[in-house]
Amino acid sequence: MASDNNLQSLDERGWRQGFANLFRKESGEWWHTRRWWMQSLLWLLIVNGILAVGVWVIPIVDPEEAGDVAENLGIFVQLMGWFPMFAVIVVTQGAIISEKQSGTAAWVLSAPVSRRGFILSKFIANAIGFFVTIILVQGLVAYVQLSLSAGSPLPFAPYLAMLALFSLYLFFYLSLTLMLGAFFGARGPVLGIAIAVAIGSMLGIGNLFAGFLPWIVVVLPEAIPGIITLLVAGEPLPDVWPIPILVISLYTVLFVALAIWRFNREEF
Amino acid sequence: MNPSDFVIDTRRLGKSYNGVQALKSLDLKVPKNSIFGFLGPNGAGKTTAIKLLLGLTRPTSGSGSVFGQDIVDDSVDIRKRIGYLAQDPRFYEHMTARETLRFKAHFYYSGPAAEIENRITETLELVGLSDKADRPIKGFSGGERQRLGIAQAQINHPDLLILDEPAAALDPMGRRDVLEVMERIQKHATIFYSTHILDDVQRVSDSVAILNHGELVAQAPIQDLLAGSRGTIYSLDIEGEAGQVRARISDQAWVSGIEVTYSEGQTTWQVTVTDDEAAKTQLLRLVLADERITVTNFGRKTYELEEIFMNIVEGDIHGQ
Repeated sequence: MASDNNLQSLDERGWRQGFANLFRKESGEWWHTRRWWMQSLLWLLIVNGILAVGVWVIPIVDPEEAGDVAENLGIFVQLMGWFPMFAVIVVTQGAIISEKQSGTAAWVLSAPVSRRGFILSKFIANAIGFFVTIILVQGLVAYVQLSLSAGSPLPFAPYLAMLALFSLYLFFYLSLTLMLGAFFGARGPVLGIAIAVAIGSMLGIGNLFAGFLPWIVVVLPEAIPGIITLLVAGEPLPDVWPIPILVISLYTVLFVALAIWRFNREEF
Repeated sequence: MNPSDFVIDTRRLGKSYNGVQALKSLDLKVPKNSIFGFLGPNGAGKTTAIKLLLGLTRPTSGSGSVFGQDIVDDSVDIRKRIGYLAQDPRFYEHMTARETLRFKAHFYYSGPAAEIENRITETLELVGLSDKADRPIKGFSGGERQRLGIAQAQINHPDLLILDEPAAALDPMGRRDVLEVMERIQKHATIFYSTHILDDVQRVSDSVAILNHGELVAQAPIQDLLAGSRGTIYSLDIEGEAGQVRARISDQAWVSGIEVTYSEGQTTWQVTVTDDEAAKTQLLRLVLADERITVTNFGRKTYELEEIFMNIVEGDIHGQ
């Protein structure tokens, strides 16, 4: 056979079995295809495009309607809070289901691959992809736009905190969508449930129940954009502000754990 | 044989789906370095058994080991030494054949990229896909996918190759190539494969197991199976009045039965014997002792695998 004596068998253990190779493949679907620039461009047009209209166009065509830096930053926060989560849901709704349906998951798992590694590779590679194209690129371009319009750089620390919270918000939806993909066998329920959660969050559904369940507003994902809004407005944060961050982080970890748990029981 | 002589060893392995028993109490022993044919009609449970061995599904009863390791607890370790071709192989459609093999290879080993590429090139040549190596798989025909399936299954030079219907989608030349590849690989590995093509099994397999309705109904070296399960039978084509001779033969202690059929003026005897040595030395002499008789054909009956398969499977159905 081959004269390949220098090849060494991999000695990976636990969740790392097959992870590196799967992570490379999943990352390749972001960075070796047009996905990265399509996502970057799409959100550049939607988020920074609309922001640019507020920052550069309105002051020229209708100076009385032009907002100040804080108002423009508010536009950015609203756009980031409303739309990118739908991109996460749409892009990753088939990440697990399509592999189950097409048979590629069974093929991959016939190799020495841990099922934990399979799920984690999808979560981490997609988290990086969305972080770079949505949070980093849009955050950077918006920062430049807002700083130029203000005539001086925006305070960096709160801006960074805002981006970190938006990242957490997207990772929450990513983990939710992957978990639903592990539990269901068709895209319908995955898309339906994840979008329902996103729309509910967008509309502030927790406020409907806040009268008799006052704690609910701090354990729903919509609390994150709420904190971001206060943060960028420079208003004081409520005393309970760490709780939503902790809870949404826990949800994210829990959803990934549930996805792994369910996928471990999947039969091919 | 010692337990260590078996690559696959299952003990009462079973699987049911929603109360329906897909596989019942399978006791399978696959010897090392054999080409083991796993036969059975559609729905017999062959693919279920293969998926259990690979850890793609979990048993509901019994246990099994591959290379002496438990198929549930040590599944990932077992898969390091296995190559698998699914019945309907699926790959990432956007990848080329070369990328697919590269992706699969990186689950097993690391090392200089040039050496990994060499192995990929060599494997592509082995299955005759060199000229299509850099085309996306989405344009591949069924036969080309099957060849790629065989290539990816043995990219890690496995100790055990599990092939689920490897020649099903291939034309006769493709089938021949697959059988040649299997014979070549057997020098280094055990091959466990399911198929419906009984001619292929008879040609290349050492051992055979037949599954029907989720149950193992036969398992034996192929030569034993082809020798027949009803004892040794000698077949004689006879011309002339044979009534007296027949009575004389029936009286022999080593004859357990004679089945007689008539066709176009010729009589055929199927003589079942309990002592092959006695039959070899005496049977023809005893018959020819009667000078009114001519024997136009004499020999030990051999079976075609198809005949055995049909007898076992249909017998199993009628016996239910």
